[in-house]
Amino acid sequence: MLTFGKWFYDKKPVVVLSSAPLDFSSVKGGVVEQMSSEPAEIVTQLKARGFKHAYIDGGITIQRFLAAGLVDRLVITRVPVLIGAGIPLFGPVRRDINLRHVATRCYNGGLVQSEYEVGAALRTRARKKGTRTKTLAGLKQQSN
Amino acid sequence: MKLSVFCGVSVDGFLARPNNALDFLRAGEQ
Repeated sequence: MLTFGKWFYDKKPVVVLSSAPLDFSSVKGGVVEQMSSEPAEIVTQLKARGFKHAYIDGGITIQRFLAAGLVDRLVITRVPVLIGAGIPLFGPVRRDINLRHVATRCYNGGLVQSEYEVGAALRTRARKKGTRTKTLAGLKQQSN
Repeated sequence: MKLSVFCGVSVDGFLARPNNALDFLRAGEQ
């Protein structure tokens, strides 16, 4: 982020998660701070400060928030290229994380963007509506 | 509070190259 040469977030508050000392002096005109707690604690602190929505970025950070069951929505845009190695979006998970496909959109240049609702959000919504979450087994039954 | 992940990846699922470079994200512009 600091190496981009330009600050893309304007006045939107940015929280950098790191336990290492960081220097934000090169950020001109941005609102940036550092936190280093566990994901659930970070969410609690941000909620207490009145934040309603947070956008999570960074491979390990995304994996930690997913593992903690804190992510509500995934919007993943696939770029038409194979690079063979790098920083993976996802890593090992302790248990399956169910997703509900919301939409897939295609853009010029072959970009394919898929949106998913994450399991915890699904369960909460299902509880509110008094409905049950559709399982893979349920889908198989429907296709027979 | 609602938490969202909004990101771009290669088709083989990488957010960045091993050296953190993001140049491949421009592949969609070609």
